[in-house]
Amino acid sequence: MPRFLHLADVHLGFDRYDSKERTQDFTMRSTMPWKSMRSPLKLILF
Amino acid sequence: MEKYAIAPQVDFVLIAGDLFEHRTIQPATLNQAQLALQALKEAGIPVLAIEGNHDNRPYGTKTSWLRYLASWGLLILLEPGDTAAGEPFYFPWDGERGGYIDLECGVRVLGSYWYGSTAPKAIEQISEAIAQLPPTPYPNILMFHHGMEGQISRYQGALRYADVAPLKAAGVNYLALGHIHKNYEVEGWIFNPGSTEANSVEEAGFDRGVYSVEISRGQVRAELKQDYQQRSIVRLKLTLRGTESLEEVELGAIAQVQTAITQGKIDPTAQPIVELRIDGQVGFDRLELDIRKLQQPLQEMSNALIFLLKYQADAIAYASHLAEDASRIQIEQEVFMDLVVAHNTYKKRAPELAQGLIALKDLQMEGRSELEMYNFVQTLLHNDPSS
Repeated sequence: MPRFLHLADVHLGFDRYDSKERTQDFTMRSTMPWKSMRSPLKLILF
Repeated sequence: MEKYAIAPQVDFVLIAGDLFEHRTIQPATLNQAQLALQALKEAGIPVLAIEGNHDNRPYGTKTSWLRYLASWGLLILLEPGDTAAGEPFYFPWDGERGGYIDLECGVRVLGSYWYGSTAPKAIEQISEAIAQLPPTPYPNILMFHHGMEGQISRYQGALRYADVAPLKAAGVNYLALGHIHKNYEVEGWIFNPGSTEANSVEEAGFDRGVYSVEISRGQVRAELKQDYQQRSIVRLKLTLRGTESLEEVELGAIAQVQTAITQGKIDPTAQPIVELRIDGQVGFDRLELDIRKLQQPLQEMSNALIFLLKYQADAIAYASHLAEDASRIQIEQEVFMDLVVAHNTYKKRAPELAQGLIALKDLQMEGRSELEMYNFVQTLLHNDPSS
C-alpha cells in the first residue's frame, strides 16, 4: 500500500506577493548551514 | 516536508513541476532546495520530480538545475526519452536518466515534460507509450504539469477531461498535476494540490496545500494537508464617494486597518501580507494623496511583512452640457467651472474662481509678469467671502 506526498508549484526563488522589495521568505542567512564554518580570508592581489 | 513526509515516513515524494520559479536561480534558492532534499534523502525517502514551465530545460540545452540535483542523487528527474534520437519514449530510470520507475513500495511512477499548447497531443503519445511498457501489477502514477479547464478564469489552453481520458484508459490510477495554483480534484483520479504558498495576493482566496496519498487495491485516498506555515494574506478595500477630504481619506484608511486588527482579520504577530485597495472617486487632485507617507503608519500598525497600498481612485470629473453654438468665453467658463467643482476645497466658490481663472488666463495672454500673476492668484484664493 504505497503512501506518498504530492506537491507542486513550490516556486522557490519567487518574488512573492506582488512585491519587488520582498524577494524570498528564505534567505542565505536562514538556510546557509555552513555559514559558521566560513572564516575571513585575506585577499591577495597579484 | 518534515511534517508530512519525514515524520509519517511516506514511501516517496512527488514534485509535479515548478520546484523553482526560474531556470536560473540564486545560490540561496539552490541551497534551500538542497537542504530540503538532503533531509528527505537522509530519511530514505526518494523524491521524484518533473520540470514545469518555470524551470524547464530550454530547448536545445542539456543542463538544468533539476538535472543538477538529480546528478547529485537528490531527486529522480523523470523525463521521457529522445525519440528523435532513437530512444524509446519511456525507459526505466537507470540511476541517471529515465522516464519511469518501479518503486519497491509497489507503484510505477511516470514522468513527462512541459508541453505547453501541445499537451493534448503529448497525452496521446504518453498513453500509447504507457500501453507499450512491460505490464505491472502496481498502480500507475503519472506526473504532468498542466491545468484542467474550469478551475480558474483567464487560462487559455486548459485541458478538457476528454484530453486526459486516454491516460485513464492506458492504466493511470493517479494523475499528479501541477501548474494551477489552486487545489482541485477531478473524478477521483486527477489531483492538483495547488501551489505550496500563495504567490500573489490574487491567489490568497485559493485553497492550496500538499496531498497525502494512499493507494490501496487501486483505490486512491488523497487528503489535502494545509496545516503548515503559510503567510497570512489580508485584502481590504476602501471605496471613496468623492465627498471626503484628503484628511478624511487618510483617516479612513487607518480606520480600515485598525478595524481589521480589532476584528482579528489582521494578526500583527503573524507578519501578514496586507493589501488595502482605495477605489471609487476622490474630490481633489488624486496626486495630493501621498501614498508613500500613508503607507508607513499602516505598515507599522499591522506589522505587515509587506503592505500593498493600491490607490485606484479616480478624480471626480464633471462635464457640463454645452450648446453647439456656445461662444469661446462660455466654453472656457464651463471648463473652468467643471475643474473647480471637482475639487472639494474650492467647489463652494466655483463660479467666482472660474471667473478668476479666466482673468488669470487673460493676464498670461497680456504677457504680465509671473509675480503679478502670483499676486493675483493669492488675492483670488484668500479673498474668500465665506471665511
